[in-house]
Amino acid sequence: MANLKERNEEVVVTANGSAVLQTPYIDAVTNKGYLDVKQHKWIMPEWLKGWIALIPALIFLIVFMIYPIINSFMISFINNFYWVGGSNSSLAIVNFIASRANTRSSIVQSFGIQNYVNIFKDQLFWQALGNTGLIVIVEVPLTILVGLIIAVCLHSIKPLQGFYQTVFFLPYVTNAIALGMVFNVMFSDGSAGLFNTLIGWFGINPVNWLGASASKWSMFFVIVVYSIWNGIAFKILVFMSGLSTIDKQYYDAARIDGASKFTIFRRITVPLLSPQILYITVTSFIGAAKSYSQIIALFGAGPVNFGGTDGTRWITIVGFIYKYMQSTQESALGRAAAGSVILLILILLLTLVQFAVSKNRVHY
Amino acid sequence: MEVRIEHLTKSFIGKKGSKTTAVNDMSFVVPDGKLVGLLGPSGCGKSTTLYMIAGLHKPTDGHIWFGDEDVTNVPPENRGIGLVFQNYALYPHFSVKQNITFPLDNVRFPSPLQAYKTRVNEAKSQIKKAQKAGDQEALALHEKELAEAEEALQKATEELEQIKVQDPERYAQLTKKKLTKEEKDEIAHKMARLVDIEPYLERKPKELSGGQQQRVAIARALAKSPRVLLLDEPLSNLDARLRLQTREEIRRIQKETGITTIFVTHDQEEAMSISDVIVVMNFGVIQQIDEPQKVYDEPVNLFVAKFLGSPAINIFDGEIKGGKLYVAGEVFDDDKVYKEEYHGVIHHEYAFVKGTRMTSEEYQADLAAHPERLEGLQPKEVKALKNPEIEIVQEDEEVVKKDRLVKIGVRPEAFTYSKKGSLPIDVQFVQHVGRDVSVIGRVKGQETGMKIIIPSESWKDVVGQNELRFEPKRFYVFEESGERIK
Repeated sequence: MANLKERNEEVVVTANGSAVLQTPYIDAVTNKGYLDVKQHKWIMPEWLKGWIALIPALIFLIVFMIYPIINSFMISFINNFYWVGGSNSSLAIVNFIASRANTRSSIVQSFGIQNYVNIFKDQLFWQALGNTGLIVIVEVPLTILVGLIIAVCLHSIKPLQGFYQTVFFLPYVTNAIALGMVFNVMFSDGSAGLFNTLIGWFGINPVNWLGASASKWSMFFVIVVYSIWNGIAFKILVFMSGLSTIDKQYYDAARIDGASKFTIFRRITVPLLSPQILYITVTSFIGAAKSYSQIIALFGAGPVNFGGTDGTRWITIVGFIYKYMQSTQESALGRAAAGSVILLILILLLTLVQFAVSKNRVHY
Repeated sequence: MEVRIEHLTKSFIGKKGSKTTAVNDMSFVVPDGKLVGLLGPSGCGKSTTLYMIAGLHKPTDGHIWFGDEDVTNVPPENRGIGLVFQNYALYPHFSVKQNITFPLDNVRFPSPLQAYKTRVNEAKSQIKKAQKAGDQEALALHEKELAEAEEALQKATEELEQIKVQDPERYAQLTKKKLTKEEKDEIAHKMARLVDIEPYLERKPKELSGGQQQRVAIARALAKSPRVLLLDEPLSNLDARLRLQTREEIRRIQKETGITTIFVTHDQEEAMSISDVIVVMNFGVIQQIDEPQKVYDEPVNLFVAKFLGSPAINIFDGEIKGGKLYVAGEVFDDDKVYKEEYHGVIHHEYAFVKGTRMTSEEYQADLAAHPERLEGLQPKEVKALKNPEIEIVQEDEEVVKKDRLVKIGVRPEAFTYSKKGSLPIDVQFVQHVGRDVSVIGRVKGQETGMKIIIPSESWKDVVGQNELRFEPKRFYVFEESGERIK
C-alpha cells in the first residue's frame, strides 16, 4: 500500500470504487483527461487537442462552404425569394421570417419547389446542362489520355527532364484570363490569326473560330483545346509522381517476359498508376462540370458572355448560376440557388458512380 | 544449355567522371543442367554479373555465350532466360495465375512461311548489293538462289493450302500466332504444381506469404521454358526457417526440370548447400571456382578461407624463419615450401613536405619545436608555413624475401586436444554447448581471438585450465598479401 501511495498520481479510482493503476499516457489518450496530482495541472485529453488543431480549418469551412451551401439550399426551396432590407441577417431563413412580417411588399415568400419548376421550364438551363455535359464527356477523357502519354514520355527521357517538366507546368502558374486572351489572339478571325495561318499552309480556308457568328463546333474545338492545355500541367505532375513510385523492377521483369512497350503501358503502367488515374478522373470530372472561367476568358466579352450572337451559346451551369445571380429579374436568385443545388447533386452522383466503377479496377 | 562467360567486364562512369569497375575480366563456364552459385560479399559484382547474363545490363567488354550462340547483344526478351528478382517483382495487380501466364501472353509464333519469306528477301537484298557492286558472277549466283527461294516459298504455300483443305485442325495449329487460353491455363497449372502453389492460383501476390511469393516468381520465370534460370538473392527476403525449406525446394525444382541455373547469394551456407559449383567473387574478380566442399577444404587464398565457414576460420600470425614456420616462438611446421623465396610487391606511400620526406604530423612537430622560424613573417606567410602543400609519392617496391610474417588459418573444428599439440592457447573461457565444447582464447602472445570446437568428451581435460595445447588436423598458410603458401 505504501508503494501505491508514493505513486498516487497513477492511481485512478474507478466508478465501482476499486483502485486501478494506470499509466498517465494511456489515460490522457483514451480518457477524459486527468489531474496530475504532483504538478497540480490538468492534462488536456487527446480529442480536445484534435479539435483545437482543427479550429482554423473549421472556421474557413463554415464561413466559405457550409454556410453558403445551407443558405443556397434554403433559398432554392423558397418561392419568390428576395433579400428584405433591415432583416439584419444574411441567413436565408431569418430573411424569410422577416419577409413574412414585411407588409410593404406585395411579393409573398413561401416554401416550395417553384424555383425547380421554373428552372426545368427554362430553355437556357437545358442549354447550359447540355453544354456542360458535352464539355465533360469530351474534355475529361482527352485530357487524361494526353496527360498520361506526356507523363510517360517525360518519365522515360533522362536529359533535360527538368526543363520539359517546367515547360509543361507553365500553364498551371499562368492566369486563366491571360491564357484566354492569348488563345483569343491565336484563334482570331480572318487569315491574320496564328491558327488560321497554320492551317492555311495546308490549304485550308481561314475559319471563324470565336466570332459572334462562328459555328458552335469551332467554338467548342477552341474551348476543348484551351481546357486541355490549361489543365494538363497538374495532371502530368500527379502522373509523374505516381510513375516515380513504380518499382523499376516491374519493367525489367516485363522486358524479360517479352512484353512490348505498348503491352507494358497497358498492362503494367496503367494498372499500377490506377490510384492516380482515379484521383485525376474524379477531380477532372468535378472541374469540367464546373467549367466557367475558360469560356468567358476565351470570348473575352464580360463575365456573362458565353459566345454566339446572344452571348449564351456556350453557357455552362456555373455560367447559368452566375448569370441569374447578376440578374434583376424576379426570383432570379432562387433559380440560381436551385441551379447550384442541381450541380452539386450531379457532381456527387458522378463521383459516386466513378468510385463504384473503380472499385475493382484500382490497385492500391 | 551451357553458359560461357568470357572476359566479362562492366564499368560504371560516375557523375564526376570517376570509373568504378564492378566486374573485372571475368571468365567461367556453367555446365549444362548444373546449379551454379555466385558467392561474394555485398558490392562484389555478383548481381551485376547476373544482370549482364540476363541482358538488363550491357557489358563494357567481353562475351556471353549460351551454347554456340553469342547472346552478348541479344535483348533480354530474346535470350530465353527466366529471372527471379530479389524482391520477386510480382505484378501486384495480377492474380498468381495472371503473373505466371503474363510471359506466355507475349509469345508470338511466326508464320510457317516466315522462313521461306526471309530467304526470298535475303536473296533480293543480295542481288541489290551485287548490282551496286557490278559483280556479274555474284549476281547470277543470287538470281539463281532467288529463283530457288521463290520456288520453295511457292511450294510451301501450296502445301499449306492443301493442309488447310485436308486437315483444318493441323492448319490451325500451324498458323496460330498466340497460345490459346487453354494452353496457357495448362502451363500455369503445370508450373503451379511444380512449385506447389496450385491452390493459390486465383489469389493476389500480397495475399501470399514470402515463401509462396518466391515460388510464384520461380513459376513465372519457368513458364516460358527458358534455357537458363537466373536467381538474384532468392532467399534473402525469407525468414530463417523458410530459407532452409525454400533452398531445398529450389534444388528440387532445378533437378526436376534439369535447367541450367545461376544464382547469386552472399550467404555462404546457402551457396554451399545447393550449388554444384561455387564461384567466389570479391571486388569484381573471381577468387575461386570449385565444388562447394573443395572451396571449403582447399581455399586458394585468405579471402576465400575467411569468407566460407561458420563459425569463421581462425586466423593467427606465424613467422617463416630459416625455412621453418614458427608460431609463438615454437616450430609449428617444417616443410620445403618455407624454404622458397617470396616474390612480391610492397606498395609504399611517402609524403614529402617542402621537399623533405616526412609526414604532416612530423612537420607540425618540427615547426612547433622551432618557433623562431615564424618570427617577423606576414600572417599570410605564417599561414602558408603552417599549412604546407603535401606531395604524395607512391612507389611499388619489388621484394624477394625468405624470412617473413605469414597468416595461418585453421577451421574451428579442425583441432584436436593434445598435451603435445603444436599450438599453445591462452584460454579465456570454455563453453559446453550441446555435443560440442568451445574453447575461446588466444594464441599465446597474440591478440586475435580463437574459437576451437572439440567433441564433448574432452570437457574434463580442458575445463578449468588457463593454458591448453591443441594440434590442428589441417591448416592453411597464407602470405600477408593473401596468397596461399600451403
